[in-house]
Parts: sequence; C-alpha cells; structure tokens
Amino acid sequence: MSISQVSGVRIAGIASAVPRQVIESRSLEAVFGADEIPKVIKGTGVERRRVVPDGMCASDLCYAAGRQLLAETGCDPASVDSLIFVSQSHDYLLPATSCLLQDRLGLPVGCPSFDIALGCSGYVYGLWTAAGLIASGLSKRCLLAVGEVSTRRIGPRDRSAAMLFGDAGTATLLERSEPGAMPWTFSLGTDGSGGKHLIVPAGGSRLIPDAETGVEKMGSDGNPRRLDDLFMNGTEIFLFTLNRVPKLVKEVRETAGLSPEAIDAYVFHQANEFMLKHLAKNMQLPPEKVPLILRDFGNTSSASIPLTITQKLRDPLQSGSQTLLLGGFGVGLSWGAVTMQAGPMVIPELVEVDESVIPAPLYSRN
Amino acid sequence: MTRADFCRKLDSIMELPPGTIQGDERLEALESWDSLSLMAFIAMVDSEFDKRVAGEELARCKTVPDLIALVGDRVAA
Repeated sequence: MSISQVSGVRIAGIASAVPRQVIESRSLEAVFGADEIPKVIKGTGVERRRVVPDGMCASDLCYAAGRQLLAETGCDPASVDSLIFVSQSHDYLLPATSCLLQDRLGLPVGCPSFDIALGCSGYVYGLWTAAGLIASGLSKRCLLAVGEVSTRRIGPRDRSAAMLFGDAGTATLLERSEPGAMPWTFSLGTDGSGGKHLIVPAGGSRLIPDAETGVEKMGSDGNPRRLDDLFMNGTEIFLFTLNRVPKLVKEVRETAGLSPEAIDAYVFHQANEFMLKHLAKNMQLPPEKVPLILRDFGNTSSASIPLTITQKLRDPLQSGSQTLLLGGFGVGLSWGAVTMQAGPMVIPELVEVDESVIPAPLYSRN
Repeated sequence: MTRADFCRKLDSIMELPPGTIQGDERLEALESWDSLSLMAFIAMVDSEFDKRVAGEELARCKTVPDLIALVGDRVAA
C-alpha cells in the first residue's frame, strides 16, 4: 500500500445535504414479504434511507451543501481556486459534473474543476488529492464535493441492494494551515482484480445501454436486476474488507505514531452495520469511537464518511480539535485511510432539499 | 474446535436451539440458512480462526461437511 504524509492543509468546514424523502425499510414489505424485512434490517442495520426523486442528482445535493458551507464559513467564492467532484453518479457521461458545479456555485472561471470517479474510497482519495494540491502550492483553497445517488441504479426487486443504499451530497472546504500541525498520514491502494464484484455493467463504453440492458433478468445470486443496475457480490466484498481493512487501519495509525487510544473517532465508510461492528470488535475498537449512521441513512457510498462526520461529530469538531482516522473501502476495488487532527471547523446543520433544487436539463427531448 | 463446537456455532448463527445441527445437513434444506447466515459464518471463521475463506470456495459449499472442510484442519473430528 502507498503510505504518504502531507502537512500544511486544514479542513475549514464540512456540510451535508440529503433529499427530503425518507423511505422506511418496513414499507417494502409488499415487495419482499413481511418476514424478510427484519432479516435485512438485522444484516444491514438500515431502517430508513433518504432517496432522491426522479431527476435529482448527486451534484444537486453537493450544490446545496456547498452553497451552505460557503455562506457559513464566510468564504468568498472568488477565493476558491480548485473544485473536485467525487462521485460515480455523474449528471451526464460528459461534460464533467464538476464543470457544471463550478458554474452553479458561482466559482470563478479561474477555478480548475474536475471529477474523480470513485465510490466508497472516494472521500479519502479526494482529501489526498486536495491536500496534495494545497501543500504543493498548486491551489490555495479547494472545494471537495462528494456525493452519490446510488438509489437511481438499483433493481427495485433486488433484495441484496434495494434496502441498503441511500443518497447524500457533501462539501468540504480545504485550505492552507499554519505550520506545526500534525501531518496527515495516508495509506491508499487499488486491486482491480476484484472489479467485477461491485459493478454497473451498462452505461460506459463496454456496453452501451440498449433495450436489452434495460430488461430485468434473474441474477446468479437469485436476485432480479438489469444490466443497467448495480450488482454487488456481498460475500466477496465482505471478505475483501476483512482482508484489507484491519491491516490498513494498523498501518496508517502506526505510521502516524498514534496509539489506538489517541484516536478520538474511527470514521469508516458506512457499508453495512453487521460488517462494521464485526470489524470494530476484531480490531478492539471501543464502540463509542466508531460512529454508525446506517440506521437512518443507509450506505451513501462516497458521501458516507463526511455525512457521518457532520451527523455524529458536529459538536466536538465545532468546538475543538479531534484526532480522526477515516477509512473508505469498496468499489474498484479501492481503499484508503487517513489520520488527521481536525477542528475546530464550521459544520452547518444538515441541509434537506426538494425538487426545487433540480436545474433545467442541458438537453431537449424534442 | 471440535465438530460438535462447530455445529453449535452454526446453531447460533441460524438462531436454532443448540444441538439442532447434526453435522451432515444439506444447506438448501436448512430454512434458516440465508445470506445473513453466510455473513455471520464468514465473521465467525474470521473471529475464531483469524482466517478469511475464499469466496468462490464458499459459494461451492452445499453441505455442512463442506463448510467444515473449508476451515480445514482447524476443526478436529
């Protein structure tokens, strides 16, 4: 794994936005049967999720979070000189969604904007990229927009996924910090041999969507889905997590010279509650140091780490400093962890959006 | 771990009364063996033996003896 350290960057604030619509897992009894729901809730921990209406994108959620963050930090948009959008739910195949966000947020044309196409590991990769830009002097202030609308690509009768994923968008403002602060320590890795275990087959260049990719078929796992839908081999992903994450956590913590007790919170990608509780137990992490938000938000992919921070660590991070270990792992397969001292920082209250946030489309169907 | 202990672990995973699993059952015949049990089984092997089974081998398991064979020499007769 690639280990690196960087100094001279800080997080000025983090904001999260979610769609207003809540879907209770229990409301899907008609689809999956009343007996199935408690089992799925037990396995995943998800009792309800935020779900976008038709037409709402991750960029809309990130726009709402970004606008709130810029306002509450008092940051002049003209001072933002880089924008990174991390997601696998792009508005269009092209142009890059970050370009559209630059325009919407009123950032200057002198603000290079680009996308990073990652999911579960995306927030850590985003922090690594932004920190590199700032520490090197290539950028002075970076807005990192991280969001996902996974629910838009899940087969409605796919028991393995239909009640797991939720939607969210976040914005993190990074800037230069005073010298002397503890460096950020990163460990990142990739294993593309596991790519097939978490995939949306149609939509890219390998398989252009057509009438057939939109036809629901029974999968090898006994769940129905289209080639346009997400397929996840839960067993393989769980095994991957067990093989990688304990080593990742240990390596980044030891390189940073931090004892387990020195870390105030371990914020993991919220993949699945059963899996996270098992990991925490095996790594002997005190449960109160491993925040979980799956119950109310589900698995929000790349947004899950920042959403967990704003929902569970708002008070301590607004008022003081916290030593955090963030860890994201999954689709790619890709993983990354970082230790940092963070706070005090600005964390607005959770933003909730409705259809009015959806902009006019860039195309016409006529 | 003995075979008997292993079967008790399976009872616990499937929330069955201890002593239900005899050790020769076909998995598809067990009503309580589902995707949640599979996750709990992986977790049990990880905790008890510090071992991660291979996903493809686990997918090929059809019987309780197959599961025991997966763990190999960690389960004594």
